[in-house]
Order: sequence, then C-alpha cells, then structure tokens
Amino acid sequence: MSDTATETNGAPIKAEQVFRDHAPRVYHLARRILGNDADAQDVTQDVMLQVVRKLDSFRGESAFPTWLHRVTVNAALAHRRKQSSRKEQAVSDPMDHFIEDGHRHPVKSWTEQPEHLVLGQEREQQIEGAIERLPDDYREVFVLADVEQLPNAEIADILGLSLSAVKSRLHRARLMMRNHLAPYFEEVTV
Amino acid sequence: MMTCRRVVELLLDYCSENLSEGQRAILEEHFRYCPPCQVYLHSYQVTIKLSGQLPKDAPLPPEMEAKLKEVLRQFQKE
Repeated sequence: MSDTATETNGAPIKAEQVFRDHAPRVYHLARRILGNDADAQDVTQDVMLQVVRKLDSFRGESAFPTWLHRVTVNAALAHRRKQSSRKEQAVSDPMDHFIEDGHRHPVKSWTEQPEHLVLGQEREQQIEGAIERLPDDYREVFVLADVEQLPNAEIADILGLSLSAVKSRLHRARLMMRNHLAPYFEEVTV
Repeated sequence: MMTCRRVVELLLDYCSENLSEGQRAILEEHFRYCPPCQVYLHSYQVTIKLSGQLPKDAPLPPEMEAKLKEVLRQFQKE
C-alpha cells in the first residue's frame, strides 16, 4: 500500500510524518472532547490508522490539518455516541446562582486581569480538570468554541444543532467552567 | 432596570459584540452600579481567555506514543 500523499504545496506526506506531526494534536483534541484518556487513546489510534490508509487518496482538497481536525472531531463524537452504557448526567443549571434581583451568593474578585493572563502549567491543569468535569453535551461545544476557536455556525453544522442551541450550551458551559475555576482564582480575603 | 440574572444571560452576546448598541449601553450602565456583575464579567472573560491558551499539540503521554508506534508498525506491514 502506498504510504504517501500530496499536500497542497505539492510536497509528499509520509505516514511516519503524519504520526509525528499530527498525532499529538489528534490525541489532545479527542481527549478534551471525550473527557477521558482511555477513550481518547482508542480514537487516536483509529483516526491515525484511518488517515494513513487514506493518504494515497488525499488530494489536498483542503489543507491537511483542517481535514484531519474534522476527521478527529467526527471520530470522537461518533465514539461517544456509540457508548450505549453512557449514564445520564444530571446537570445543575448555573443560572440557579441568580435570584430574580441579584446574585444568590457573594461574588469574590478574581486575582487575574484578562489583559495580563499567562497560562502556566498549574493553571493548565486546573482548566483541563474543569473541562473534564463538564457534562458531555456542554464539554464538546465548549472545546470546539473556546479551545479550538471554531465559529458557532461551524459547530452547529458539526453537531447537528441549531445556532441558538450552540450559543445556549456554550454560555452555560462557560458559566459552569467559571464556577469550577472560581475556588482556584478567587482572591483570598482575610 | 435590567436584573443581574438577565445581564448574565446576555454575557455571551456582550463578549462577542453581538448586542445592539442600546442593549450594550444598558449592560454597561448596569456594570457601573453593580460590583458583583463587574466581577462576574471579569471572571467570565478570564475563563474564555485562559481556555483559548491551552496548548493544542503538547507531547503525547508515553503510553499513547508506544501504542501509536505499534499501530504504525502494523500499518507498514499491510
């Protein structure tokens, strides 16, 4: 079997190169969408094998990374949906933190200013942990929107949702993320 | 007067600049007089900004790397 294809710039892509250059991206995207390492490993193996088997039919219709990104997202979503034993997840509405005319609990300041933010290793772990805790339907929208920076219309297309459903899930996912991260970022008051 | 609950419901559109000028002005007026909502907006923006900085292609865990080497070896035997 041929293990090369041609990239948009005419350069050949070899299977080893695809593994070396793209497997980390595939793995971390799958892990974030699925929220666990074991499923992400299964999806990564499937995607990488699927991709190298199709290398000789890849004609550079779109940039290779963009195509691979879409293949990975679809594989992760399909993997999640075929897990018949998925348990129902109870989702508490983050809007319950609000009463009609105010905030139910005191809102403490966060130490960080958005314009001076730098993501260090410890913060990275906190955010990855908060993403894992999101319910599946909210995590996939959050990852595609705020981590992968895809436009809402494209996310709606990928997930088969209306634009308003994507925006609603994204907003609630952000509120959940914000609440998960609050204990870590809130200023300590003495 | 817009309630805090309604303000928070509009944060997504506020942060992506999808509100009408009128709605935006009402929200900003609310932020001026409501410190909890100011703080909430700030924390919402920090959450978005930090999540967008997560590395997309950090190194693979050793276990994943070993499995993929095996997958590649099998593929090259096909």
